[in-house]
Amino acid sequence: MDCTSTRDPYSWRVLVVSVSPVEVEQPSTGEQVSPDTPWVTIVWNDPVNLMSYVTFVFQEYFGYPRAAADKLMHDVHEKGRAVVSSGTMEEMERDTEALHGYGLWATFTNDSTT
Amino acid sequence: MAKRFKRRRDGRVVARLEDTEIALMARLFADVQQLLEPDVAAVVPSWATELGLDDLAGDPDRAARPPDDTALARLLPDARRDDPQAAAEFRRFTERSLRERKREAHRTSLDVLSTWADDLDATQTMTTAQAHAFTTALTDVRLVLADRLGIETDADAEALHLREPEEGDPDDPAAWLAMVYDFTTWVQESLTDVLLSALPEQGDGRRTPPPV
Repeated sequence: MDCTSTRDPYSWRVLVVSVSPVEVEQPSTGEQVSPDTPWVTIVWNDPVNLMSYVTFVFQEYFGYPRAAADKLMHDVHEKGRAVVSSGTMEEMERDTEALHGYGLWATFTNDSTT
Repeated sequence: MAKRFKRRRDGRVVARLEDTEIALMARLFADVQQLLEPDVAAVVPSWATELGLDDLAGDPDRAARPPDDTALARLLPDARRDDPQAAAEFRRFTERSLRERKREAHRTSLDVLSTWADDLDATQTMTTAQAHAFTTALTDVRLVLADRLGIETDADAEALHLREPEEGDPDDPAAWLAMVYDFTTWVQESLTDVLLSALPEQGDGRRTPPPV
């Protein structure tokens, strides 16, 4: 976010480059849903979004209390990422798309190690 | 110079921007709105599909690939980093509507600015919904400016913010961009503070935050 911290090793530029047509041919690994690995939406740190704006989005979109929204914002900023919601794949798709609408850098997954 | 945003008793958000600032922001919103226009190459006309000519009429895989423009790719990021195929599928089905929703926020913001520009003596106000669209559109503007300025890390952003004012040469496009970035940052910070203070401290209970 828009103040100093350590560099995010997974710059989105790297992400864009990695999605080549060749790699698109790889078999999908993320479709198996098990109750032990629920789907989650992750927000990644970026150097542009303001801390206050990120808190605003978490409160406005999810309806989270201020303290929880603030904690998640700090996690994103300091740890480079935070799990901001969990649920079914469809719900996480919806959250990710909504967060992209707000300009946050969000992804969803059911692999907790990602 | 612009003054901080405030909330009026009737709930409307009040701005105090100079006419040059209104014009500058209108140009930024219009530019990014144009950047977000649907990718023509990704749209295969229905007649071509019916005739089995997809490959000739357009690039059928274009809609599944991130945009080539790095700023646009940041506005429309991949939704998966662990599964490129799923990311491509998701993009194919959602990117168009995401572009449209973003463009709608820019349209709303441009409408607000045009009302203010029409009567520079009147009080500049907007509804909360308009203000939400405004701060969201400002995010897209700042993301694009940051890309053009090469801001990739928090340290880059900090260095830009802390640079000496005399380094800002008005004839240097990068220095001008940096000034614009600082200005839009200030505007968004001020507006977001107003919006944030109006949201309920306890949340609305719709969703439960993830366990810490």
